[in-house]
Amino acid sequence: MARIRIGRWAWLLVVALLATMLVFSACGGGEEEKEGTPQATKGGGATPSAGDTTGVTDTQILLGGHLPLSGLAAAWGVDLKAGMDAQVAYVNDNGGVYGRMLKLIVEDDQYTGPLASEVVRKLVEQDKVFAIVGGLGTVPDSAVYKYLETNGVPDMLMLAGLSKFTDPVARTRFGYLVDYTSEGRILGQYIAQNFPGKKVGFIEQNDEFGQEGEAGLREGVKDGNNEVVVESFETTENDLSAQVSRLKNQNVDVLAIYGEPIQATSAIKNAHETLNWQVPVVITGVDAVEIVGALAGLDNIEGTVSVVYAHQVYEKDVPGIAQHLDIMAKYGAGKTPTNLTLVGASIIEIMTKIMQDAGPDLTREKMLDAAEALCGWTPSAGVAPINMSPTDHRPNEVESYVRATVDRSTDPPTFTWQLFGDFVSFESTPKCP
Amino acid sequence: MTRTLPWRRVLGLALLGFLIIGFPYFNTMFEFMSGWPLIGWFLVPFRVFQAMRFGVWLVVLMGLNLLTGYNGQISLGYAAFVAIGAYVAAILMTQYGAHVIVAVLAAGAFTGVVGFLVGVPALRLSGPYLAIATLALVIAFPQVVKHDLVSDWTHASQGINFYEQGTPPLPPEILKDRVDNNQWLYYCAIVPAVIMTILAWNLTRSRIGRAFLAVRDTELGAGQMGVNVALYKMTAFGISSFYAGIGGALFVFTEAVLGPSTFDINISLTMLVMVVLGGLGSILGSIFAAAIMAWRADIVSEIVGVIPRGQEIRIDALRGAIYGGLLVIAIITGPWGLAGAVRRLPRIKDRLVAGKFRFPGVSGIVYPAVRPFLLRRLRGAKSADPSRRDGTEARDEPH
Repeated sequence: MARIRIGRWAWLLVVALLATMLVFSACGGGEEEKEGTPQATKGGGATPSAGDTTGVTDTQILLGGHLPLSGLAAAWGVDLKAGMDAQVAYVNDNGGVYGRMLKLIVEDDQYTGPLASEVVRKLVEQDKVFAIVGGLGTVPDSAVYKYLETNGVPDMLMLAGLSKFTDPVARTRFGYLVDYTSEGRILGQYIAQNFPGKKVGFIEQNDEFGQEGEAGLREGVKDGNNEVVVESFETTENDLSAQVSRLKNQNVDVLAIYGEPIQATSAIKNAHETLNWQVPVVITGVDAVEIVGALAGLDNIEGTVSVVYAHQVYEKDVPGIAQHLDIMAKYGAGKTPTNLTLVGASIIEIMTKIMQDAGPDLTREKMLDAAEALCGWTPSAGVAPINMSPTDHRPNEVESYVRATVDRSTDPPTFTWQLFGDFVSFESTPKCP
Repeated sequence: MTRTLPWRRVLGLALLGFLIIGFPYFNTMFEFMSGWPLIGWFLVPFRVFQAMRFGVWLVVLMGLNLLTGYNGQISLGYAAFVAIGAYVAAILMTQYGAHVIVAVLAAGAFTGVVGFLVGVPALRLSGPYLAIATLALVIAFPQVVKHDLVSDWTHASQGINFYEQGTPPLPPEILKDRVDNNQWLYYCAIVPAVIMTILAWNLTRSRIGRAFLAVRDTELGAGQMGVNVALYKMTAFGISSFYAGIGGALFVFTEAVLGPSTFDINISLTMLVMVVLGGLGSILGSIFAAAIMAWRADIVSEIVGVIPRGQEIRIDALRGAIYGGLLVIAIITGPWGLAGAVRRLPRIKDRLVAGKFRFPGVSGIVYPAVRPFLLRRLRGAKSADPSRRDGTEARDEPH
């Protein structure tokens, strides 16, 4: 076909169409205060209607999740999903929740915003899930949290520690990871106590995750009179040798890193092995997982300090850990239990407890009420009770320091994050009603 | 004046118009068909959201096709221009309260100018060197956006969130009862997409379009013919960036969330792959590219579902490999993309009958085996070999 000659009638049509759109949009311009639009106030956001049983049938509860199953952050997603699936199978084998079997659909978002947005929309609008559980990642969660809030879909136990997710509190949104500012503060306090007056080199991911960690760390080192110099990197970079070299040239005495496993370990390996610079390293809790041992090299990672909010998988004498190892052996389809599978399983365990507390007539409202009333209960692998309230949607507010330890008496050597020191608590709900 | 179109064309266009305009309502209009095997898949409300995405990608990928397919300039960093358009529109809408149509057009214009200027240094580069230079653009962009100089507008790594600053893209009051969120956004995306497609159609069949093709096919020859090569190369950059700007603005308007990592190197490369798969240098190719882009997860899911005993072999973990495999197969069997394959369809029957078919790749294995049966069916001849009428075949004889 040759060029489309747009005759005058066609032009009139196009102009009319545009004019109508303009008129309609202009008339709709002043609707910012309508009820569907969420306001950033305490306890604000759309609440699901009282009898909202989306995703709940007589026989099944449908849960959704978005994790990075491929790409740079797949190290997290794959293990998490394995743990979640195993725990779901275990719960179903033991009668489910009031006779309803759990079904979990996890979609791959490759740790990117647009994909997370797409898969979450699919989970909400096509699969019609009851709730999203364990959504992972600063960037993916930032892309979807307002959409979920506006549509009244519970965003439970988010695996991201940005303060903005739990402060201001939104009715349908609950955190899980310790928020990065508090975590940074605790790490800063460790540095202040053990390296007073020394220079700190801080390598941060150039986004809110890294920036919150930096803010917290600076707060924590106040008493120790430490100078902090900062280097940053993008999430798409996986070689941090330039940043490490620059910090070495500035003669920093301690290295603090806020990044994903691949980047953080690249920095550690570069410092300890390539540059032969045996600088003590402090690292964010999201990297206190076993895979960093393999990524960084056991000799390089040894001695690195971090923080955790739950028992570790190596603590076989803790009943909750032994139970997790059992569950993974039976339902884990051959996957080796790691701290990440433990996190995934814990999330499902806590979600099950909340849904159990909500009672046999399960609705979204009742589940959220039960979550806010959860107080004084410790999950099987937890170090302290979960205390939540209508103004406190953060389950984990107690942490312990851990040190990367290599046990060379075994073959191959065993790598664990060993707990040491006192627990640090910043619990905002100290007493239960 | 409009020409008189033959009635078949009018009917076809009317049908297309009905499809485009009525799509959001099909799932309620044709609800009785929702159980049917193939059609039922389209009648899910979620398809409306995906169709909206299709519209946005159509604008974006059309621009990339104009630059790379029609003008032959390989751009690996196209996502940077999309991001520029997105940010300009987002800033205008959230911080300066601009109306969406104004913001979209302004974003398109701004990005078009930027693209035109980028075209200047691009004149000195070609082929892989241009590709690398454009790659640098998309790698640098996230950091530029987070820099203090502009972070007052761009909010650095926090990004721009329409739910927190500005108005989320909800339907206007008057239409509240007739359209829901997804349907409204669908129309907001598809109307510009149709307009931009018609514009591109006209552009490619105009003098400018012919100049683009000439520059692509033989730069030296085009210059000899009097084509101002430099000007048209820059114009190609400018026009494609205009499309990128409009597409980015539409994206941010419908998505309501924008961050520095939304348009990164991964999506930039994916865009180029999609355009190649769809078909370089054709409007239909851009349409296919946008369709694949919007529905690629579903395509992989369907294939995963079809593979027998998928659950047992944990096919879920291999989705990435399947996606990659599909790309490889698609490139081998159709270097001109899906649109190229479609263009060849009318000739297939003739060539089949004449026995002259040659497919590269996978079809080279399957086709010769299947050919005798196909020919027998088509011609009703006693033998598959058209030159033999007594039912014998060449391969049965000793040779």
